[in-house]
Amino acid sequence: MISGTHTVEIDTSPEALWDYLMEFDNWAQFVVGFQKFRIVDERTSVWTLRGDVGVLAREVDLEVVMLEQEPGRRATYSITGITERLEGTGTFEISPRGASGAQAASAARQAADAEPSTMERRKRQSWWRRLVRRWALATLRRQHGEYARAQRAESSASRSSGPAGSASAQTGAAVGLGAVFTFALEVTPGGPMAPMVEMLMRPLLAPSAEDFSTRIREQLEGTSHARD
Amino acid sequence: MPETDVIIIGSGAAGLTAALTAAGADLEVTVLEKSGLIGGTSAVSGGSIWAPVNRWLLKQGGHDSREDALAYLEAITLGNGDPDLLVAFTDNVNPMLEFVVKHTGIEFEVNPDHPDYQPHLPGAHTGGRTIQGGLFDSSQLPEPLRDRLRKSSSGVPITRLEVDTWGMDTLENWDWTLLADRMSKGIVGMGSALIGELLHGAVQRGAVVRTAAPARELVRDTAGRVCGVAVDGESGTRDILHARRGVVLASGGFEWNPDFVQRFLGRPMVAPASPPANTGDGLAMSIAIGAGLGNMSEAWWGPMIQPTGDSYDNAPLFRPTSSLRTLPGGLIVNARGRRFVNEAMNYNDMAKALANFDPVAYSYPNQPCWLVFDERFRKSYSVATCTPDSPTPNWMATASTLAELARTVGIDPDGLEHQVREFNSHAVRGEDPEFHRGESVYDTYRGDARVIPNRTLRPLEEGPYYAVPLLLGCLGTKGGPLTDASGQVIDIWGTPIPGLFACGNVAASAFGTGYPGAGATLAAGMTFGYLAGQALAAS
Ligand SMILES: Cc1cc2nc3c(=O)[nH]c(=O)nc-3n(C[C@H](O)[C@H](O)[C@H](O)COP(=O)(O)OP(=O)(O)OC[C@H]3O[C@@H](n4cnc5c(N)ncnc54)[C@H](O)[C@@H]3O)c2cc1C
Repeated sequence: MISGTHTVEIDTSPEALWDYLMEFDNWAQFVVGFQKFRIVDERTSVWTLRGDVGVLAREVDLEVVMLEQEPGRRATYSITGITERLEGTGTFEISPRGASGAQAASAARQAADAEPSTMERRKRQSWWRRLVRRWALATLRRQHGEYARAQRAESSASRSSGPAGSASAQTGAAVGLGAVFTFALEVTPGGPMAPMVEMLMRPLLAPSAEDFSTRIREQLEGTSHARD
Repeated sequence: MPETDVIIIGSGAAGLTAALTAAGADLEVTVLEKSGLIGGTSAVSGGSIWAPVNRWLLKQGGHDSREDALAYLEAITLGNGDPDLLVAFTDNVNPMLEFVVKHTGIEFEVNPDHPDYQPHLPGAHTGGRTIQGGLFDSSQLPEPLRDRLRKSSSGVPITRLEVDTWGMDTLENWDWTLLADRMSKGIVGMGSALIGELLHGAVQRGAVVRTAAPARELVRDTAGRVCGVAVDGESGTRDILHARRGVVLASGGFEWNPDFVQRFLGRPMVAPASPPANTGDGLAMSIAIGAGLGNMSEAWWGPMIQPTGDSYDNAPLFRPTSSLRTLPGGLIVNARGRRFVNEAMNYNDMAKALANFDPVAYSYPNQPCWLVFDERFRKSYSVATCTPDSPTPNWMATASTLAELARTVGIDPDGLEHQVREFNSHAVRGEDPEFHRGESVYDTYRGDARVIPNRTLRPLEEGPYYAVPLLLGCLGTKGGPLTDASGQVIDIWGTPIPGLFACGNVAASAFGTGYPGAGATLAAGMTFGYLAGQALAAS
């Protein structure tokens, strides 16, 4: 199993963030390699993603099913490959910012550092997998360039969400309305090629999670123009 | 004006062998590569090299002779090959290999079992002419070349001999933990390894390799000698690079240039398996200065699968089907549901049947066509990257009955049912009276040894059934400027063009319509690259 987690602070209320996340249309384009998705029923959707590994790219269909949800706080989805063997989960976690919010962010960051054991304990493994592994690489390279530019552009706002939580969360300096958003992704590739898939995907999951949560923050805070 | 002794256009095996040879003779060499990655089709290839009378075979006690080789080459080219080129190839392929071994870290092994592609022809051998290299550790390459070494679509660091041992279509038998470990260390195999070795050898001898540097035009002096190249720089500039000795065209085929394909290839080729930078630039440049052309309607043909959604270098990825077609439990039919060829035939000649023309219907009756197989096949072999335990991908149609499958993809249902009944009635005895599948030593090099009495044949059994479209494709085209036996390009009147050489798929192939055996395309490209490098050193 391989995983990636990222936490950001967002200048919006937890309720607004929750409503935003519940509308896939709002953020689908931020999923690495996103091509399209289709809502099957209240709990189920089918996603087509395009993953790049170096010069190879492949489209993969995934079934995403809502496993549990605690409105305003947490939603967990299972991810199952339809065209490839892989399983996983994706989790959104929201908490209010502030003193306790800062703690939550820092706790989330620690959880991210302790990923493997935490994940095994939670028994909600796997995710996008091999699909993402491949597609993510080329796409992420591209996105990283944009993201780096965006970060430079907004560095004056000093709201960087470096690995494991923003500087403001760690210092507890954040003030005002806000939400701490954590996105966690776990993937377990299946089939005989699993060792290769894991090897290729491992370095990509954390950047994918970071990119995803950062883009959501940028959109909600209206800073996405910084990418240009 | 920037100057060098020799400019090589293209960094495939042909170009890099020319570069290694010229650099080995202390010439100053610059290789211009259009793509951001080094190696072209050669890097995505199996890396096999076809070398009659090679020393690795002889060392094992095998036998071969120059006479056999020349007789076979004459037969496989239908007597239309330029005898000077065939002799030049036969007499220089082994010196070229010795040179490459001496100046790189390559270690070859002979594949004693790989038969020539038309093993019944005079002079053909049933094994031993194909040699294969090992792995290459790309961390040996200096930065930034290390990251610019092209890898195949799978990128799997495996040797050709391991593929043969573990089974090309049984991916579940491969040692993926070992392969992942190799990959994490930057180790590459097959064509990438061959390119890595040639590149390493060439740069160690001082060759400069520029990527993202497409050559656009040949420059000639007032006497008509090719003395330079106009090349695009990364910043959008066009510069002239001067060549004191000459220029070697090694820019691959024109298979990714739809206009050239339509103008020159006599067959409706839609599925090139090479990287997409091969757009016939060298051909255009040579036409522009009056080169004579040959073999323009030919390619290294092959029937390809296109797993929809897979792409390589931002172009659709077409995958060869060398061994898939030979596996028992499958057959290939056209829209009438009829077989039209021995499915286990070598890809170059088999694919020509995909392009048969029906003058009455005025159409290509075998386009489209499908590989149809049963559930046992699906559960036994990988189809492209779809392993037996993977979910059935959307590019693989499936249905519980043959008639339903036929309707789904557009085959005549009665025709298919009738064909399968007929096929099964013979396959049960391991026979194919119509197309003789599994009778030649070439056919039985692949197949499934567990199936007897004919490892390429058994009846289609229970459903569900599956169908995958096969497209007429190629590994690369092989028509272009004509050359003499030293690789020098000759003009439309038969006179050598001073300072211009061509090797590999950019040039008119000495092998005409034929494909002598596994590795013949790399072997010819490298041999004429070696000869061009030598001629430039002597010039
Ligand atoms: C999947 C696959 C497996 C194969 N396996 C084998 C095998 O095992 N043995 C064998 O003998 N053959 C094999 N082949 C065929 C073989 O790979 C090719 O025929 C051979 O590599 C052609 O070599 P080349 O040097 O002529 O061209 P390439 O290797 O294609 O190199 C040409 C280079 O020129 C560059 N270029 C193009 N235009 C320009 C320009 N304007 N300026 C600068 N650079 C330019 C291209 O980007 C490319 O890098 C295989 C092919 C495929 C697709």
